[in-house]
Amino acid sequence: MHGFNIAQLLVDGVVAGSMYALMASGISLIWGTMRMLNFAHGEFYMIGGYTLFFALVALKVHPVIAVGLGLLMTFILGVVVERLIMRWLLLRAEWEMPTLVATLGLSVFMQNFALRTFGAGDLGLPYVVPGVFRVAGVVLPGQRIAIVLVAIVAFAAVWSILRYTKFGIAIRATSQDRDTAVLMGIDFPKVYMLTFGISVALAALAATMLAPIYSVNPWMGQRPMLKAFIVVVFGGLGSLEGAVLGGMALGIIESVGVAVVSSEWQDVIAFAILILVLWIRPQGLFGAKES
Amino acid sequence: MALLELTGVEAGYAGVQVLWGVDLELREREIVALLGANGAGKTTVLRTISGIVKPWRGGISLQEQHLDGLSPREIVSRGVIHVPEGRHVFPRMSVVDNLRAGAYTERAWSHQRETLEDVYGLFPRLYERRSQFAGTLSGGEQQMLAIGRGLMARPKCLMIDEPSLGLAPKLVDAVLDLVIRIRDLGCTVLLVEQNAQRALEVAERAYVMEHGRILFAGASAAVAGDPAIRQAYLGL
Repeated sequence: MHGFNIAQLLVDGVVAGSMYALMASGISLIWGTMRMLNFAHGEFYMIGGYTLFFALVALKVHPVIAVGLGLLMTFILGVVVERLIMRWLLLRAEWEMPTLVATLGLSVFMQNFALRTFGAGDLGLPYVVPGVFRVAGVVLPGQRIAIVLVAIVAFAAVWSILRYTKFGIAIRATSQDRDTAVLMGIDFPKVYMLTFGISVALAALAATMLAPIYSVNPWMGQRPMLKAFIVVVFGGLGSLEGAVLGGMALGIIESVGVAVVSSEWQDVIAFAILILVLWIRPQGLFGAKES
Repeated sequence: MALLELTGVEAGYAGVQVLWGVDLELREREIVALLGANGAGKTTVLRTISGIVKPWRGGISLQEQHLDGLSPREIVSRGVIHVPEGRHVFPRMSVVDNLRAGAYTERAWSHQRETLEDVYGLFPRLYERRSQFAGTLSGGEQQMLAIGRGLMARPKCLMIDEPSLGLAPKLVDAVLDLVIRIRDLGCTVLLVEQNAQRALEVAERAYVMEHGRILFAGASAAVAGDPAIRQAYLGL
């Protein structure tokens, strides 16, 4: 459409990357705090998408409220899932397999639940933020500008919570040395529960931003989750900075790569990066080596 | 009056009994040493008091109120604080955030500012390094931080596990001086030490453990002066 415009490619990359980063930061937060991988992360993304759809189409609420409902719904579901399923596995697990299998199972269950309940069709949504802006030859649809702004606000919020609040101290202490955190009077099961809720709400936030661009269906979370896993490997598991910078980097590399070769190669590029990083720097660009 | 009292405490891990009827009493404002060889059960005594290990039998009380059966969080909020062996500072948190983590319970959190001033007064070194990651501190500084973090909870009773472990003799002196100053501030200290000689110098009373039992209890001078105990259990 607009040929080979490097500025446009970078902007597109940042837009895509900020969503990868949102997804990845949730996975990273759960890993960093609870030492478990959440393979149902994409399905919580899906819950966010469906909630947005029904809030906008059936309840006809204001888009901001619809996004809020999507986050709230997913947060509550995340808290319930952690409390009812993950807690028991985390308390007894000496290795990571039980939670890994449980989240995989949960992922299959949630997809099929959505399939039975909502059907296989793609549900389309209008852009929440209308309008298209053109700046120096770069095309900027309002929705995509909103995506980047929302991501920045979300990262600032998460970073401030971790850095400045009492709950943030509890999360960091639990993630660095759970047994010692207990000696401080920190109730780590509560920390786990809220961390899980916040992490999946970040996925829902990404979904509410992207659903109008793609569409809502039972499998909508699969690709974002795969991308997020590439990002966390790239940036280093458990590192919030790694998730943000890794997400941006993957977004830009994909965007430029697709322009140089062709769009079918997008996933090839992403997985090639994954393999390269695993090969050269398995702890990720920003990850600390496991002690 | 007894501040903290253990009567006939039996406890262990996953079916393996470690403590076999431990009786122990701490009075207000005293330093008590808990001595014994590696594996005697000293750390298990602390872990049972702090609620991490649930006692199978026997009672633990603080100012005549039951502690046994309470969660670690409730025990911390009642002012019984366990400074773990090996310091266990949070390595990728700043010194000040480590200290704030120590003030996690509601009561301590609301007095955070005053307590922080007091702790910095006691450990000027921690103030100098307050923005540094705790993992970058030296072993002695990390021990100071671990104790300071315990003080942030405004404890009635501070249980310190092996504070001199791995420290140079000069630093051991500094740490034990601090234990005395903490006691003088009104806090009871239970000091677990393998370095029996030094512990007996600062403690008023001492308990000697072996195989999960209290073998001997008495004034420090009596323990230090008993050749049989010195030789058999303290390696002095």
